[in-house]
Amino acid sequence: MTEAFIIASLFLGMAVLLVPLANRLNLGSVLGYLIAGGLVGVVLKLVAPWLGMDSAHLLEQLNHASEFGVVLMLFVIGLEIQPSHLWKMKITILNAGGLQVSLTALLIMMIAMFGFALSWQVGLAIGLTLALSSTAIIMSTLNEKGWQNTIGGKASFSALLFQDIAVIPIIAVIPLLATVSPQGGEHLAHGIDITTHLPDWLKPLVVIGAIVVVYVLSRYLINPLFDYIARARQKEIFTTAALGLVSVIAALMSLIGLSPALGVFIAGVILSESEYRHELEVDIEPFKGLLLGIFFMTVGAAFNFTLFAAQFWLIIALTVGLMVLKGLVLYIVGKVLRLQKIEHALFFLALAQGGEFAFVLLTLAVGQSVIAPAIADTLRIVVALSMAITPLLFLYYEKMLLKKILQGDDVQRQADDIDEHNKVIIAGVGRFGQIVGRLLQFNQFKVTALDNDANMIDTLRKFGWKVFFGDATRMDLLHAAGIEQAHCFVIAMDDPEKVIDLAAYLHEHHPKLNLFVRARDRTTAYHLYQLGIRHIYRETFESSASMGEAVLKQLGMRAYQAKRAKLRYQHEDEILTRKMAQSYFEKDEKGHVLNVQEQLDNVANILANDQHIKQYSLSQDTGWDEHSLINDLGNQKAD
Amino acid sequence: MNKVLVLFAHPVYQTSLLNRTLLEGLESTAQVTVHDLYEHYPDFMIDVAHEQNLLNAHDVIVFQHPLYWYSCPALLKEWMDLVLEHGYAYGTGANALQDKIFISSITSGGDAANYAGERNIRDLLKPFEHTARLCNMQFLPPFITYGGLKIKAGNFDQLLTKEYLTEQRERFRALLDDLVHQRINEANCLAFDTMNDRFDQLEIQHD
Repeated sequence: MTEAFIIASLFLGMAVLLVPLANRLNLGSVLGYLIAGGLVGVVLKLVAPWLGMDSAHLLEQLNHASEFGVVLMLFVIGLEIQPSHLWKMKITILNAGGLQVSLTALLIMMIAMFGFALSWQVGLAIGLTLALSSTAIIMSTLNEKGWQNTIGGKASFSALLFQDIAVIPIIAVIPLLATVSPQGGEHLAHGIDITTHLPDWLKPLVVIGAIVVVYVLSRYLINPLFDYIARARQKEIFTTAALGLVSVIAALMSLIGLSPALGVFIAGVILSESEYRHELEVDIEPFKGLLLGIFFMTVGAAFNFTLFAAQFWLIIALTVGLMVLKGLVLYIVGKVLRLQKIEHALFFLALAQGGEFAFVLLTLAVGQSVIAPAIADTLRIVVALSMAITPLLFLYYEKMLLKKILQGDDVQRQADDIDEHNKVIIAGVGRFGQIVGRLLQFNQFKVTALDNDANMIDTLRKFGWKVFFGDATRMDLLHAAGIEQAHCFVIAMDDPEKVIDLAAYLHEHHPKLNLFVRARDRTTAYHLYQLGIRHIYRETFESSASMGEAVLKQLGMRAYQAKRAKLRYQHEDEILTRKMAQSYFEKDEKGHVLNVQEQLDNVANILANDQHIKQYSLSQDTGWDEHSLINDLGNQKAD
Repeated sequence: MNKVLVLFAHPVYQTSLLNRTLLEGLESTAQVTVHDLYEHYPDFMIDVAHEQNLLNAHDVIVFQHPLYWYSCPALLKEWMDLVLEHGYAYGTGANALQDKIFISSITSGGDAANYAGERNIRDLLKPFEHTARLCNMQFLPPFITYGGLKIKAGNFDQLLTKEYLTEQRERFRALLDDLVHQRINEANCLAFDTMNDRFDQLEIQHD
């Protein structure tokens, strides 16, 4: 027990010490974790014998355990992708990933054969291993910077998704490349595989069967289960169930030799349409972050400094060569995908490293006697080093390329920009904020816009918008945009969580600022009401109500009657939404917020409230109503 | 022949007995255009250029509306405020509406007795009269259809009511016909307080 505490203190302490520092230096948290891991590795070597442990063995164990972080990350990514959306991406996935993996593997194989005189089998194994990039580093960096929805971000994600799928056949192919019979021992890096003893024709059926099981599980069993747990109102059981679900699917996938990450990704995509999506995300998020951090640290800790020092120049040359080669292939793939300059740069810088799957595949290849242990050891260092360099490439992209591309025409403008602070700031100029901005510009009001979509900024700047690049939740950016002088602040970003965070921050620290906030859905609106925000705009509320008005008119209602019917409905709904917002945050007898009331957001509840609206106003428009007047006149006659 | 524009404004036409009596079945023809303002502009975004083009294309402007608080419904007032611009309808050199004919066709909840003495209908409609005069238009006495609410309240004999409504409907058609065929103008209507008086007199002459 004491040992476990010491190890935990070492890892957590190092992370706490170095990750904020790395962030402050703008290096990104991934590099922070890797460096912290490197230091842990050194310290562990000294401490482990004293604790009676083998440090290499320990790190391997921790690495396997924390791989669960990568699995959780893919589950969360899956939750944010609707199945229909994934289907739409299929061509990009095939183009981006297929071309990248095959071309990279082929080129590396040639180099291995002709440059290092290795057999084609070894070359192919190395090529396939190194063609894969690091989903963990890329996706967490894209999320951290808010670039996941840019064109370059999506292209990167498509390629990564293909790679994650490609791991399955690669694992199957590598044992076939063995030129000598296996030494036995470790069969598969993943551990137990029940399919090994099955006849070959049965294996694909088992795989298909497993995916069907995942589908049925996610589609039909999860919702009733979560309903049952939600009714019990025990927050920690809900979290347990969420983690349990991911574990079950990951275990199932591992058992049949599939990538657990891919399995939970599929489950995530299926659950993205569940009403518990948001709840699942929130519950898993902290575990994902922590485990992912430890995973990066184990990669850093496993870094073999002795071997690195011994083969210093070879390893440097191999690493640079690998990254240049991968970058070049990605450059070509980017051209095929017709990415524009900024997005193109992000794409080929982001994916130019070896990934965590390389460690798994190298272990497998050594176990199957495909690759000699010495070569694998060198390659492990190359992969780890390329992973450590990646955050620096992201930094180069953000600080140099983006600045250069975006501010190309800024130099001459800067002089008159300094004193100019607009009254209106719009955070997020995508499909929502852009319309707000255009309306204002149309009426001669200048706006300052904040966004992190480089392509969008490029275009808007050409039309004279004053756009700042970056995450609007950053204080320095808000200051640069002139938050102190602003009169109105429009929050129109895509991500509801960032919207709520920014609204809360501005509401508290700039109370005089007039906030206008976009709410993506009802739940977001509830949070904003709770904060005391006055101007809340539910995204589809206006347009869908307008459509309803048009349909009423088509059904024979007079235009003005339909207009009033729409306005009255909106008014009543607004009042009820406020009421629902209150009950959403009601607390139980112990004072805990009943977060399970997420259920409030389901369709049945909204419909029930419509019935309430009907009773409330008798559904009749009483404008210009003559009944009481006619009654009056009728009575006069009777007198 | 004149071209007649009926500018109709009623926020709840579907419940208006009198306006439906007058307007139902009245289709726009080559000579008469019926323009339903509340149906066109439910959000009050009046297209001024379109409206002025309509005015330019017609010789007679009929305001058809109920009397709300001794005036017209809000949208018609908005129409007046926006369409009758300075420099177009009035002001130096503005002559777009000059010599065109203006006439109100009013429906009312009360009956004729409610608009006697101090609440004389001609006095109540002075704002419209002055508007027409400022635009150098010919102003004709108003045509009035009374008693909408009292009819609904059942204050009158049913048979008489039916006769009255039929008569008003025919008189309104006749009025439009007179306007199209240029039988009436400001000069030959000076003797009448309302168009209703003119129709009454015509009937006496017939008898």
